[in-house]
Amino acid sequence: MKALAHLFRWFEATAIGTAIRDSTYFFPSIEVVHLLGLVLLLGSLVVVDLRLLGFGLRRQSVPYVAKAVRPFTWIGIGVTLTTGTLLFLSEATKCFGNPAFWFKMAFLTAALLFHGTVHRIVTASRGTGSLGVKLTGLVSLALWFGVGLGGRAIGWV
Amino acid sequence: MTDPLRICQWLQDSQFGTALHESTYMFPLIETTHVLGLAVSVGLILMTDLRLVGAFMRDQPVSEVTVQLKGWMWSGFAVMFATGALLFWSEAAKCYTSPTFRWKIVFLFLAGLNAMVFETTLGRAISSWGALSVLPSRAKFAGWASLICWTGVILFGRWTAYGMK
Repeated sequence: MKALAHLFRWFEATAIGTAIRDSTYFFPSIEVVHLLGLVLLLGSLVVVDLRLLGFGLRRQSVPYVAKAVRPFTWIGIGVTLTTGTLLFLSEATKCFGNPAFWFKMAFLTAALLFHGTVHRIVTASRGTGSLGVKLTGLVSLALWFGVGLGGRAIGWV
Repeated sequence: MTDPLRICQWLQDSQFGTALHESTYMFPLIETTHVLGLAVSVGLILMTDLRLVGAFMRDQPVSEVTVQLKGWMWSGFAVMFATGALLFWSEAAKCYTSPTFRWKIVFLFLAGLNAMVFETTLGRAISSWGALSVLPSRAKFAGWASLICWTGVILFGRWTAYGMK
């Protein structure tokens, strides 16, 4: 734990972290891009997860919808991870002592793992309507919205 | 009492406005719900816009996207609008005098106007052009305009929040 705290102090002392912290406009600007990336990420996931639950684009097959939204989900993940890393570097020690940050990281890890495994396999198969398929959509939404909730809470805790 | 600032001040100072503003949990909870409602409604608007500009589900008619997602988009919009109204109530005078908030409202208005013009003109004849491989340029324009307007709403919305707390 002590080594981790040390590492987080090092993160905050990096040139990038310092530059963002010292500027009035960097942090808010990066956060707006982070938020736009999140809207794209959650928007594309809502489309495919609603489909898994049997709502939304019901006239299209699950694999079709999953394939159509995939590039946007990945662009969203790419943008949020990049901007999120920058925001983190600028206030790493604050994050270290913030329970909401760890909540968010736990949900993010779970969400990414789930997305790359169960979600990927289920959305590739044509079977729909089963409890497992619906549960996949529900868990995916819960995990990703948990990430969003934790992220907003970092500023409140 | 016709002065908007005085009305806003009165709203903010009302018992309900003060209670919202001063509560430890309600304000953050409402704001978080606002952001998550935004992710659903603006997220789905974004996917519809991406269809209009030809980046998403190009091999399906536009109406396949708009018709099937409309209900969910409006549900998210209702959540976003209701929570937004509560946030405004609790900080009405601050919002009224905030330049960034005014910009947010301008972009929100433009987004609404764009959607209304689209719905009442092109949207009415969607079956005649929605399945074309190259959409009319006015449809593409509506998609880009919506993307830009909502980006503006989010940009100035987040910026407004920086000035509040």
